[in-house]
Amino acid sequence: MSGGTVIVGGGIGGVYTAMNLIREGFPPEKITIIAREWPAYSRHRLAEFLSSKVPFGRIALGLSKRLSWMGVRVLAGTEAISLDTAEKTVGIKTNGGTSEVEYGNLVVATGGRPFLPPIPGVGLKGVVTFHGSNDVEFLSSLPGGSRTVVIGAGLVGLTAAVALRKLGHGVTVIEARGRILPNLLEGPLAEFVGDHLTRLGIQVLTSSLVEEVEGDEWVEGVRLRGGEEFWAKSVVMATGVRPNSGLLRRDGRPIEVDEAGRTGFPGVYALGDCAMSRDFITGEFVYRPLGFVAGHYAQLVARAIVGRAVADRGVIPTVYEAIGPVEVYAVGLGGAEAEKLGVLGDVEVEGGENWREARVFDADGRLIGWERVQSGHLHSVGSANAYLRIRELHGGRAE
Amino acid sequence: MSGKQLLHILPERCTGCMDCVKACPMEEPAIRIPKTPGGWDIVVCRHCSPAPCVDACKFGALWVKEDGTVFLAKELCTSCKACAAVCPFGAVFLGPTGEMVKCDLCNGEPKCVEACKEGALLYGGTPDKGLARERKPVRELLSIRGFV
Repeated sequence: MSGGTVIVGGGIGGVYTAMNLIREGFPPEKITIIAREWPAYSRHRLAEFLSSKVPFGRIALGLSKRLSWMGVRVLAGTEAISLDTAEKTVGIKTNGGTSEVEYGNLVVATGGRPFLPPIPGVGLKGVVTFHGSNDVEFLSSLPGGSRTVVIGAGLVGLTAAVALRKLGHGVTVIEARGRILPNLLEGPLAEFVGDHLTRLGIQVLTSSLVEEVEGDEWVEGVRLRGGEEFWAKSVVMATGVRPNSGLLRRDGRPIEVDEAGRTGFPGVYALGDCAMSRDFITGEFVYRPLGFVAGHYAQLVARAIVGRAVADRGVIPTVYEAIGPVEVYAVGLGGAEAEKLGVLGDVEVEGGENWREARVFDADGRLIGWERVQSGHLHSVGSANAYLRIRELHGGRAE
Repeated sequence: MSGKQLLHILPERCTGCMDCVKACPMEEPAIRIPKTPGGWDIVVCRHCSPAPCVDACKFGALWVKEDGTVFLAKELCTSCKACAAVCPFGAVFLGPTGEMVKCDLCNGEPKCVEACKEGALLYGGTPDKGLARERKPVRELLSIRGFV
């Protein structure tokens, strides 16, 4: 396979890099995908996989099958365990042992893994994440009317909470920080979402630290630092994602890349939840484990591999999620991220009975972010407007 | 019909009969008619040009066909919902199975238009609005509709 491209990871980043390579004229038979799970599926559909009990085929990516038909070599059920950048080989673990694969170019698309905080009891049976189809299969098997505690009130935790509630389970969401969706929404917008969750019968606790997940072999409940206890048959840990960057670095941090996804090693690229990505507004490299970021770099890496020039400004975050009856929109930088990047000026919030909206500005008064939450069937014209405005205002950023 | 046709929406004519929704051949109808305080709204893709959803889609699942239709290839879609985040009309949305839903204009013969007896949905040129003569950027389209 010398001269071929080896892609480590059979998730969205890996599969779309293969597709883009073929689109760029790269021969499919010179592409190898090392995939622990196959076919690839979309984590974005896990909530529906749970609540609507749709078959696995509906969340699987049709593209996986097509790549195999086109002649891409898929080493399904294998895992990359080592990398020799001098010899240009990847060590892989298979069912029967280990072997080596040579590469001309290597794309590391190993994704992320759920972060599990060091809380006693997180290893008990019945404690799962909301990251893979096996998590959903376990949650689907719970008897109706079970009690579940979801730890973490980001988008993953809240969509899981709503899906479980739809199945008739009792759900408590526990968030350590002062509000739900702390990285995504301004306070009044988060409050709006919280009110609707409460109306759905979901108990939401903020500023609450979990002291212990209780139980012997199986989880029985969760105890907070203040002593309050919540009985539960299952616990969903939705406390963030960390990069699977171990092939290239040992410190657990995301892989650093340039604007085309190149790492510091010749012929080695990295993208998706294992790597950094560039923010369109500031030009800074940040860690954003989001599907469309992987898709963006899957295009750039393919272009770079076939020798096309890549001049990329980065990604404008464009987040949408339906959390029960509430639609959540976030375009550009949220207040928290803008502050972290040192570009936060003002935040303006307005709202009505069924909606709230926030606009985030930099110190020069330029729009850098837009957020909206709404319930009921309302148009969201502001999102397109904000997206176009941000492109226009920041597209001419000096390199 | 020529290649420069547009779907025109006249919600003031809509009576909420739902004939258009029933006529949509998609598994999950791509047209929705929510009740509003003053009547009915019509939520369906306007096939903007240029389209923010096409720009935001990083998976190559959305593109503009030669006849101007903004087309969603389900096979390429990951349901990342970036398109829904930037759609000005709420017209590309998450279906109950987790797949994105969007109107494809039925290959140039939209069944919803055929079904609408009230004339709330029209497919063709509207020279008086100047929309069909030349495809307008979405910002202009929004401004014509009084949104920006």
